[in-house]
Amino acid sequence: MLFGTPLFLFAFLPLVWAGFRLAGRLGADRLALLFLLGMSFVFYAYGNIRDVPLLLVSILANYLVAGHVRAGPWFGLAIMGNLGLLAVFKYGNLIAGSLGLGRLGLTLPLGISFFTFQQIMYLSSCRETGRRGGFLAYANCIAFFAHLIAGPLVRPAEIMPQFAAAPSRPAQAEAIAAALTVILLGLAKKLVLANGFAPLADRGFDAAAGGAPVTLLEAWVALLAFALQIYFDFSGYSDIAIGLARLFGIRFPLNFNSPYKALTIQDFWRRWNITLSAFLRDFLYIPLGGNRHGEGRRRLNLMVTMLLGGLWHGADWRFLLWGGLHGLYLILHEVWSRAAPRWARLSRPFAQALTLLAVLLAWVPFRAPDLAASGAMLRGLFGLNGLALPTQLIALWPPLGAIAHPVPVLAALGDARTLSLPEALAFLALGWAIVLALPHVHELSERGRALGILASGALSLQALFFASAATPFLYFRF
Amino acid sequence: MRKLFALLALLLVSLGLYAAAFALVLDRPLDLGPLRLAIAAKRAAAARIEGPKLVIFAGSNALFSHSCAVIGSMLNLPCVNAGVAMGLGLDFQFALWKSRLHAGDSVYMPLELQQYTATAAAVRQGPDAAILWRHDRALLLALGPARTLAAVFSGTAESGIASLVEMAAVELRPNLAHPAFAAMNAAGDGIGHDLARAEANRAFLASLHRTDPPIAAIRSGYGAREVERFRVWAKAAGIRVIGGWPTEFSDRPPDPALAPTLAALYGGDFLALPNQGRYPRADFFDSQDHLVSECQALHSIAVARVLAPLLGRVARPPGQETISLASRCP
Repeated sequence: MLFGTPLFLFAFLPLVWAGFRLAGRLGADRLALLFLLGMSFVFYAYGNIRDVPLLLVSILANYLVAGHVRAGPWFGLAIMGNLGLLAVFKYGNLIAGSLGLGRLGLTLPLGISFFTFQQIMYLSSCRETGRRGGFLAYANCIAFFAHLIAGPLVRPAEIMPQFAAAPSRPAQAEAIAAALTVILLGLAKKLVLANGFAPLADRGFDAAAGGAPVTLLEAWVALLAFALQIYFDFSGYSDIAIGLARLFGIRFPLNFNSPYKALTIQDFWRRWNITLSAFLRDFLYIPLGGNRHGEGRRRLNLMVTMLLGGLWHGADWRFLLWGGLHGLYLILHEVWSRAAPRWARLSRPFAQALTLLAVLLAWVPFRAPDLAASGAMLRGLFGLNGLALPTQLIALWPPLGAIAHPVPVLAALGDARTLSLPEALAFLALGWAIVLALPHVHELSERGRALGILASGALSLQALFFASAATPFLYFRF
Repeated sequence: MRKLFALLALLLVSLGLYAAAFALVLDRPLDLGPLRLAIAAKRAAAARIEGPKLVIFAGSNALFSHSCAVIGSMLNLPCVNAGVAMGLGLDFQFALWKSRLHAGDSVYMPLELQQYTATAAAVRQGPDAAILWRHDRALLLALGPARTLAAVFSGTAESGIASLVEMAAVELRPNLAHPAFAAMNAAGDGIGHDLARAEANRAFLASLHRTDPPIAAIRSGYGAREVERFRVWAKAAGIRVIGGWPTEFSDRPPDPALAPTLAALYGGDFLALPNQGRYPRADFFDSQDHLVSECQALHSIAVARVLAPLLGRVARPPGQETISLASRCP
């Protein structure tokens, strides 16, 4: 079930919220948590009912093992079991294919990448504290529909007590209004902005994948659109998840903190998908040795963490390349920070621009369907296919003819309208102004949020009820 | 509770501002304006004709691949080319044209296949939704509540921005117009899209890959139901409706079941063309719906010859100028 659908917003959510609150009001806390858990399974089954047994087994098995993880081999076995399951579903087809065994025909269960990591965090917390907590609080911490499919990853030690206390905590109108505001703004990010930028990105990347010589402007429009699409899509999802959790009295952590405003690549990773970045730091980078064994080892650990972080997105070279590029950026930044004399430090705007450019270029292999398409897109981005403009646009302002060659249609922009390009550029300018000049949803003042609702509320409703099809969140596929 | 009511109030104000902006302020003078002007010009041409006439009704394949000047002259029958754009809803266009059609008229409909398969939701959010909400709210209301609601909610962030860009562009350059509709003769035919001008579009044409929609979708589509409703109305009004083939690339031969399917949609009143409207890519201007002028003439001669017996008329030979033009179709 998708958050941005009338079924979820006007049927599922009110029903679950009312049932949970009613049970809580009657003092039946356990019933409230059981109801919430059951409805989270309904939510999950709506996506693919065949995945339900796997989620159920994962929850039961991890809870059983959690009581024994302080001693013996159980902790290691449980971690290996969770990661093994993820590896089988995520990389089984690739490995079997590489071994000449053909495809195994495995489909990736919804949310497995996220709930596996959530289980690892839980087991680790049990090992540290020696307490596994109540089953219903734990199971809701894993399966709560607000974050089951694509995060944010939450610390069980912080969230489980909240679940335990949530049914008896009275729902206050002010808190509900604040939660609904965050949900509405998250929906606007997804339905109005991310889905709006998607066609611009798709056309350019599809053209590159199809072997078309994507020209300079077409390539940059597609890349800038994709960068906005993935940001608004994933941060919109995270905002909705945070708002949904608040409706049930749970506080989820912030997952995006204006990442494109980052001044360094390190800063970017403190702002982008914050909960996953923290997980990779705590459960991969630090166990690998972190920065405890000298500079060379630290850089190796950084690279391994980023490569595995890339591979987590899927068994594909393009994700490995994306992770590798970010690993390289982090190492270069670290080397530069140590070696560069004070006078050579970049000014803030220049540092931000350089960081953004690096992040943008890394999105190319992430979005392109294969390495050949990445190459084709990069050729366009570096101007190797030239600069073209629609004939009609050059006719409007002839000096443009001196720098661009005229074409009847910019095919990668998708249509032949006179002003397709200026319209795309204006939409991109709006998106980048929101991202770079405005505070994010959780930083906004009450007045800012009200203006946000005023500007986007009707457009969200339009997209919700009248868009041709509900588009899944990008991170659902990971 | 106050905050919840404030949130609700904000949403209502947002809805009001949105509806007012798209109804009263935001316009698409370049993208949609020419469509409106083209429809108005064609309806005016039809209104000037006294007595029986032929109306060619489809999307832009009627406009660019058919010539009323040629067909009307060969059939010795006044003819209006009503074709504008494939994306315009059939219900909207039928509503506009019903007042221009009278007993004894004939309507030839070489609809693009996508017009049969379009869903109701897609049609209701099509370009005519914005036209109706901005410029003809009386007609919109007449089309029913579902159409009205969809039109009120047809504006998107992208279309809002496109409106601002187009309005600013027209403010700066008042003479801007969509080239597709800049050249139209008195009968409403698209003109001037000749072979020489098509040269620049060769690479683009080569990249086009549109496949025919499935037969089942054509049979059950929303457009097919609209055509059926129109035929019922036309029959009662004494108007003859004849179906026909749209133009398409010949490197994609049609499904053998397509001809009987289309014929059935028109109760068997269907114009059987030997080439089923399929031509080599070299004969097209800038899309599979738009033959170059030379082939537009050739196709129109073929249509007139097959249409004549269906209308009980004798086809006259085309004029020398038309023959000369058609002979240059590759």
